[in-house]
Amino acid sequence: MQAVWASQDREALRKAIWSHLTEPLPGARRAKAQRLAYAFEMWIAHLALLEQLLEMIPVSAQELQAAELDGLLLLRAAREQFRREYRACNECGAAVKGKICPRCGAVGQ
Amino acid sequence: MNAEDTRDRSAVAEPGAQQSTQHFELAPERIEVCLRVKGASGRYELRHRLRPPALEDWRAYERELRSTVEAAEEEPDALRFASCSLEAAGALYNRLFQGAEGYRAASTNGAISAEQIPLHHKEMVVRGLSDVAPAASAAQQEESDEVALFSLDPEHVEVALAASRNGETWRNLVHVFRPPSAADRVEYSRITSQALYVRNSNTLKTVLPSRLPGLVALYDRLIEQVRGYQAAGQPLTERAAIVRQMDPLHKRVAVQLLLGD
Repeated sequence: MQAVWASQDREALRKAIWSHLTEPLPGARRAKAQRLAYAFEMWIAHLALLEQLLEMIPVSAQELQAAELDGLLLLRAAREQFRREYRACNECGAAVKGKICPRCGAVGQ
Repeated sequence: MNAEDTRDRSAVAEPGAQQSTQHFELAPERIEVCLRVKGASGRYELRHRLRPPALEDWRAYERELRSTVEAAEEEPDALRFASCSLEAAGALYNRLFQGAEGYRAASTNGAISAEQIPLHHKEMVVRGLSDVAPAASAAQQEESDEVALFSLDPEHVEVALAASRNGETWRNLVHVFRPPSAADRVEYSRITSQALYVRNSNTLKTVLPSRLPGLVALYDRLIEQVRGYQAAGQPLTERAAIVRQMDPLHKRVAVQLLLGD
């Protein structure tokens, strides 16, 4: 089996970010989404740190690695897709796709 | 493995360690580690002579650890960390070995080779070489008689380590850094967040690479002064000398203490 840097495998990282964003909250009723490899969990946490930093401080492109820039673009695209496809539950605020909240069971529109 | 070997798991490197009044020596000509072991025939005092490990030795050691993280099969939400610590310690010991006393081997006229040393003795010796950690917790510090100086210097950040070697302990090894910048914080995250995943692994296997070279480079960028160390009997006062002489494992623990969560 082949070992690959999590930060360098764009397609696998894209899927991992989506899985990370759509992972059910604790207490959710449906089955837990498939776990991520630890390598992706660590790299996504690093991208989230960079994302927060970029909101506060202007960072020059030279300070970012290419893999970080790619990862941040994937993270942003995934967040936009998430906002299009999910809504907040009126009762508990959990992310809901469809009518029934996976956490509290409230039925929305 | 003979009967004696199977019964000496209670061995410790120099129990009852004494607190050293000297500075921690960074450039010893050789390192001696003594294992005191109980076996079927009595007590043994096993002295191992090694050359001091260099950065490249520790890098090779970390590569040979082959550290991995996998989903535990019996409990999918749990992670299982694993590494080849015995094998890596054995390989490092063999590279550093200069001699050993306290062993008896009929076929070699008293001269012992590294290959003859039991693997778990090698592992204990290597553990003794890498015995460095953050200094005592706040509660332990309150119990200590030592009084530290309160820093009024906003231009520096201090962290303190404790280390032991050959039965002696050093409890106040101080590393003084310039305050880390946001870029340093990002660099630390970058170094500690890179890992490989194994494609098509049923257990979502991750391979953890060696962090040592990156953390050592970060330490070298940030360090200003140290206290409690010496090299060849001389205190370390120059920044360049600290960068050149400081033990890579001390560098790693100090920079983790400075920037870690």
